[in-house]
Amino acid sequence: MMRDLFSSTLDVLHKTLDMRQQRHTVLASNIANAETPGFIAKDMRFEEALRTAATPPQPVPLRRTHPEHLPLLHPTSIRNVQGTLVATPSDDVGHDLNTVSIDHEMAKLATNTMHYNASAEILSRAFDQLKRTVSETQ
Amino acid sequence: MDMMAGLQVSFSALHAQRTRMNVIASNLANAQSTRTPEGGPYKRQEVLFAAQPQHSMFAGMLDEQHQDGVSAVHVLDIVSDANGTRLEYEPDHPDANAQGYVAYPNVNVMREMVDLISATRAYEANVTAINSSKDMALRALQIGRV
Repeated sequence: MMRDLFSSTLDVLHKTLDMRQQRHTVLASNIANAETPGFIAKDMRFEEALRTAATPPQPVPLRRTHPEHLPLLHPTSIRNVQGTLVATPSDDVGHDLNTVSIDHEMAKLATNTMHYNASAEILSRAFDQLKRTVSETQ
Repeated sequence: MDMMAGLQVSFSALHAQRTRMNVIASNLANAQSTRTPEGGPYKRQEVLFAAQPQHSMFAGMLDEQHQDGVSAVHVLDIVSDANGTRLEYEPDHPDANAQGYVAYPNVNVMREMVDLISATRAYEANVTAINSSKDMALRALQIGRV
């Protein structure tokens, strides 16, 4: 039952916060280099990987049948999700070959922060719920 | 994940933009300076920015691949723009040459003002990014606080 108590919801939220934090750093770097000649704007994608990892496993799960086998790290376990860096496509590259579009980056930064705060709020409430469940029976 | 990495990147940009503003202020202040210690009129100065890949404190050990996309900005150099000084016919000026022409700095005030606005906006953008970083860090501290 403990597995249910700390369900995968917490794992997903934890990972989301982690990824949003990393993406925030990447976006901050774009904004910092908005005037650096030749700088290529980057973004981090993780939503798709996280969604794949968060969907229930296949009907035939793998099992370790020998202690010498490698630990069963499912390649797409939630904890192993990693973001991928991609260059942001830009249609207005100036003469300095800088691809940062400052308004896009600011919008992304704001959205990312809001998502981060939302995830943190949900995580707070999940913990609140747990606490309530544990303490109400006393 | 290093929470301070984003802040450090933004701080580096604040520093770079402030340097740029100082250089622009110097250009504007010396738009009419016909003498310098090196001789000749003042020469317009310009900053060179360069991206500097940022590594967290434990780079290489844990999450270097995530840090690869993150670059701080630093002022590589401040260079003088040696292009054409402005010649104006003012025979009474103490610095006029034999033909009566005075060499004025190659500072275009309009261009400097545009640069100044651009630097201010870039500075503000980074302040916004810092505030976001701060909000996120504070929000994370509130997790679990009921």
